[in-house]
Amino acid sequence: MPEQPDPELRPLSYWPFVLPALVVVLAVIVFPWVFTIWMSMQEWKVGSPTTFVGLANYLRMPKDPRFVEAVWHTLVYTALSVILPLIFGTFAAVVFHQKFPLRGFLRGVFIMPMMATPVAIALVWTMMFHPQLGVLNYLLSLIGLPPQLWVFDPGTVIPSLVLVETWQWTPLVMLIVLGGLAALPTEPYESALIDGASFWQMFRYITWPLITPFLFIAAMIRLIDALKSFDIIFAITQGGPGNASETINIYLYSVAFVYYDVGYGSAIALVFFVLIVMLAAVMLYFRQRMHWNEAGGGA
Amino acid sequence: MSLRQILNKIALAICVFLIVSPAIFFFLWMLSLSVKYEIDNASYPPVFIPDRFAWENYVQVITSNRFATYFVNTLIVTGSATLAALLVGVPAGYGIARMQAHRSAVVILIARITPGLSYLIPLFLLFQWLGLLGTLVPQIIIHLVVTVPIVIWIMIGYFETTPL
Repeated sequence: MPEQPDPELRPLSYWPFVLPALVVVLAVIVFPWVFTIWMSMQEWKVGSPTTFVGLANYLRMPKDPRFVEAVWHTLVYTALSVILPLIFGTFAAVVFHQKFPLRGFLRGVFIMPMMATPVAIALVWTMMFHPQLGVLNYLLSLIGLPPQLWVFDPGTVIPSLVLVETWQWTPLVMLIVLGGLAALPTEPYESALIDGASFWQMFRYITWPLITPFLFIAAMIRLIDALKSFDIIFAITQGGPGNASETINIYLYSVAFVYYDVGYGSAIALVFFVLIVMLAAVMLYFRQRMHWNEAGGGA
Repeated sequence: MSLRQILNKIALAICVFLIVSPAIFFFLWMLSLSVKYEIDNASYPPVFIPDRFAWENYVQVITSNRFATYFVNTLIVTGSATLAALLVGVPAGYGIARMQAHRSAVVILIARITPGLSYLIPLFLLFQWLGLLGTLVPQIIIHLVVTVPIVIWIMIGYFETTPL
């Protein structure tokens, strides 16, 4: 990162450029934050006056079984919806990097899920998941598998939602990795071909190390988006059946806008934010370590 | 050698089919649902191409006068939000890039990470206080939460590589 110049040297002409953005950021980003922190320390049911309760809202969380469960659901949901799109996305990128007829068109078709409206997608998936009339169970019956309850069974609801999430966001990973593949040098491949390396060896020892930085970017974006995932879960199951697919975001919504417990909801929002920042930081830490290993190991 | 090439081509074709088929199947099924009558949509085994097409589904969408309102609203919100984000974000990106004020860029990253729901209550109260509820203005402003940081982020990268 370049050295920051002395603030005193910053000319006055700097401010007209930044001032409008500063006002917008203060009003729509910083103000909500400060207000949320203030609310999180109030006992505030909508319609009644607020009372200051200090950290009571935060102390409530570990004793709230629904919140604890929501944390686990969020972690499972996030882990699956980071890993699966990464695997399929990398595979798709390697395939789409080959030359074959209609490649441009098929790439376009492949990224269509990413561009579609989440609620419209959720509606169609809900119909496809239907245990009696859904087309997915029909497809399963064609290959001789028993029908599933999909989102109507607490045991399969999270994997089913991950299926939708994976279907929608694998294209994003594919695009990022494809960008990485396109930027790769060709010399290592040429010399590997001369040495008689197999396709798998070339992938394992040339492609894989060279695209890991891109995989990290993709994993980071996916991690943040999967943690915050709301529209697909809400539109398909609303956290159900029971609360089997209730993630922190969905629970937060229920607390603040169904039970109107704004103070507790704000506290959950803050804890959620800290969780996201922590997980992102852990990923960045691993990335730094990997770089250090590459440099230190001399591989 | 040529046999191996043919095998490679077949393998590639199978891979491409496996990758693209979920997306193709989904959108074809969506299309099929949209031109079927309720009775065909609720039949089992599912009907892919119905005997009679329910084109009036589309006519209904377009002729209901709410649709026109929604469509115009969407255009207004999208257009104004994009324009406002560019008006605010491009100069800011220029200022930050020229002055190398990289610390201000961190705020933008945090805005990207924040769960959207946590903006809801404060901004709702803010708009209520400003008397803007029931208009399209809150919707436009809420888009700025997401778009301004992205515009600034992209423009910083652009202006940093632009020679003076």
